[in-house]
Amino acid sequence: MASNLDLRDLDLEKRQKSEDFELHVRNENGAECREDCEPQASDSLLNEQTSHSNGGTATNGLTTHQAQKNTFQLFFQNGFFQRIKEELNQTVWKKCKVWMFIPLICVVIVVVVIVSMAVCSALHKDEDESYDSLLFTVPQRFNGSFQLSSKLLSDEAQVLEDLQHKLDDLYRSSPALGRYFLEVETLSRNKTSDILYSLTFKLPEDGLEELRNFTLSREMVQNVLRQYLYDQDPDDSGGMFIDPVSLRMSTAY
Amino acid sequence: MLLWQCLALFLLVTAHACKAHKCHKFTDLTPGHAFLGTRVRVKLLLYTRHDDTCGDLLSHNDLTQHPQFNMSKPTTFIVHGYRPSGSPPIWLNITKKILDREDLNVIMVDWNYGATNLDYFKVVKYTYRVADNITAFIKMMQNHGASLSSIHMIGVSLGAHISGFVGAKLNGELGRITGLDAAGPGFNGKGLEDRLDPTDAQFVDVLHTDIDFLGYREPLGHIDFYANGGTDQPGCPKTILSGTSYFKCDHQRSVRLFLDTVTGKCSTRAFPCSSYKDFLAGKCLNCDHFGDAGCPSFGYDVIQWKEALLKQRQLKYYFSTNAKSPFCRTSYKVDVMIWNKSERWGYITIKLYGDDDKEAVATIDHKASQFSKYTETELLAQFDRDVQQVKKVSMLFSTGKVLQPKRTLRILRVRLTHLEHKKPLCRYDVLLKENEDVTFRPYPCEESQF
Repeated sequence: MASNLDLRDLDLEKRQKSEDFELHVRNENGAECREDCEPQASDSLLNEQTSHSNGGTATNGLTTHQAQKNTFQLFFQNGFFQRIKEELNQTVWKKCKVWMFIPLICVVIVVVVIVSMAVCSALHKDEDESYDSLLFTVPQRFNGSFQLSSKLLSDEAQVLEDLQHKLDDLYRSSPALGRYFLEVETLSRNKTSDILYSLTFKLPEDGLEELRNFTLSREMVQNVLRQYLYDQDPDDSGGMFIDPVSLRMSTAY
Repeated sequence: MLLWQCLALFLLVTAHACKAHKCHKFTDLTPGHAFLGTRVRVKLLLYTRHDDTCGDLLSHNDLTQHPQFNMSKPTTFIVHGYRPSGSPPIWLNITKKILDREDLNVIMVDWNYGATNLDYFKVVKYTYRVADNITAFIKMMQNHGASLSSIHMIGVSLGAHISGFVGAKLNGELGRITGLDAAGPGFNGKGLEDRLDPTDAQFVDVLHTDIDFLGYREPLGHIDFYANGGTDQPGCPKTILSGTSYFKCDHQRSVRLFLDTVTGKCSTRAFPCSSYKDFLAGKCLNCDHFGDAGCPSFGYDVIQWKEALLKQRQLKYYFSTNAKSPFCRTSYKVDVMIWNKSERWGYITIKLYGDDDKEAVATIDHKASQFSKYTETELLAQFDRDVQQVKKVSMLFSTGKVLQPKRTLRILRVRLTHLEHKKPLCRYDVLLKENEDVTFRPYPCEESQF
C-alpha cells in the first residue's frame, strides 16, 4: 500500500515538473507571454540577459533570438538530459536500474549473432560432398600399363596385390574421383616389370557427358596417377618404384 | 733567374693540368633560389668511359676543346625537370649506369638555373629556351660529324617535353626520345607542337607513373608504358602525413623503374591493353603479333621492338612492379578449372618455391575472381621474384567473407604458365579449403583434352 502511495506521489511530482517545464518554456517564448506575465524565479539567466539587450521588439525586454537561444539551452541543460538521466536511473527490479539493461541487450545481440553463425556453420552441408552412390550405374573403364623399376621376383602375387592396394587407396581418396571409383585390377606381363592395370568407375546417368569430358576424362584419371608416381620417393618405394614416364592409359569402351 | 723560370713553367703546367681535370658538378641551389626565382642557364656536362664520374663542362661554341667527345659514338642526353628545392636530382648516377652498359657519350643537361623556381608555370615557359639551347648544341655536333639518328634523349618530367621540342626543331630526326613521366600540368590538353609527341623522333617511348597528379595522362609516344596503371605506385605514401614524398614519390618512381632496366637488374614485359583493370584480369596476355620476340620489355631495351611498334597504332602498355628494387615482377598465367556444383568467388594467393628457401609470392586480389564448373578461369599471377626451377607450389583460397560457412574450391586442374618460358606446370585434383594453404609439387603439363 505504501509503495502504491509512493508511486502515486512520484507520478504527481513528475506531472508537476512537466507542467512547470511547459510553463517555463511558454514564458520564455515572447509570443505566448502577455503583458502581465512575470518572469519566473528560475529565469535569472534570462533576466540578466534582458538587462543587456535593447529590448526594442521583444516582449518583456527579450529579443526573439535570445529567447529562442535560452530556451534551447535550458531545454537541454535542465530538461531533456535530466529526464533521460532520471529515467535511466529508475529501478526496475531489486537493484537493477534501466541503464544496466543497455549493455546487457548489446551483449545479448552479439551472442545471438555468434551463436546463429556457429549453428549455421555446423548445419551447413557442402552440396559438393552429398551424393547418392546408388545412382552411379554407368560403368567407365580405363586400361593401361606402367613399368616397375626392377623385375618382379618370386613373390609376384604379393607385389601385384600391393600395387592394387596402392592404386585403390589413391583413387578412393581422390576428392574428385573417389565417389565414382569402383575397383582396380593389376596383372603382370609374363613376369616382367611391365604391369597392366584396369580401373573401373561408375557414373550417374545425370550429367554423364560432362563427367566423361572433364572429371572422368582420360586426362584427369591418368594425371591423378601420374602426379602420384612423380610424388613417390624412389628411396622409400623399394622395388615398387613405378617409372612415371612409362605410364600409359586409354579409355576402354 | 733560372730557378724562377722553372718555377713559373711548373706552375703553368700544373694550372693547365688542373684545369683539364677539373670535375664539373651539377648545379646545387637552395630553396632560397627557388623563392627568388632563377633565370635559365644551361650547362652541358659530358661523361664518357674515359671518366664516368667526372663531368666535363662542354663549350657551346668549340667542341675541339673536348677530345674525349667522340662524335662517331652514339650520344645520350639526360634532361631533368622542375626543381622546386634547387638540389641536384638524386638519380645523377644514371650517367655511370648507362656508361657501364654501353660505350657512348652521355651528356647531362644541367638547367637547374631556370628549373629552380617556385613558379612552376614560369619554368614551363623556360622549357622552350632550354630546348633552343640544346638544339643549337646538337646542330654544332652535327657540324662535327655526329648523326642525329645516333642521339638518344632521356627526359624526366619537364625534360621529356624539352626533348620533344628539341626533336621537333630537328624535324623528328633524332634517334630516340625516352620520356619518363612526362609532366602533365601546363601540358595537358596542349597541341602536338607544345608537348612531346611521336613525330619528335624516330622512336618515342614514354613511361607514365603519376597520371593523376604530376604526370601526363594520355599516350605521347610510339609506345606508352603505364606502370601499375600509371597512378599509385606500390610503396609510395598513401597519405599526406609522409610529407613531400606523398607528392613526388609516384612521379620520381619513373626514373627508378627505368634505372633498373639500364642496369639490366631485371626486365619486365608490358602488355597492350585497353585498361589496367583488364590487364590485371589476365585479358591482355596475348602478344602473338610480336612473333617470337613476344611482348615488348619496358625500359632501355624497348628499342629492340622499334620496327614492330612503328607499324602499330598507338596503344597503352601495362605492367605492374614491386614496391622496391628490383621492381620487375614475374608473370604467370594461371588457369583454374573447378568441379564445384555452384560457382565460387574469391581471391587466390600463390607461392612458388625453388631450390633456395626463398619464396615468390603472387596475390590475385584486385577483385574477386569467379570460378565456374568445368570452365577455365584465366588469372594473371605476378610474382615478386622469379624462381628458376619451381619445386613446390602452395595455393590459398579466400573469399574475404566472415559471415558465411567456409567454402572449398574443388580444382580439377590448375595450370601455371610462365609467360617467358611458356612451359606450363600442372596439378590435378586439388582441394582448396578456405584460408588453408595447400602445398603440392607441380609437373610439366601434358596436352590438354578438356
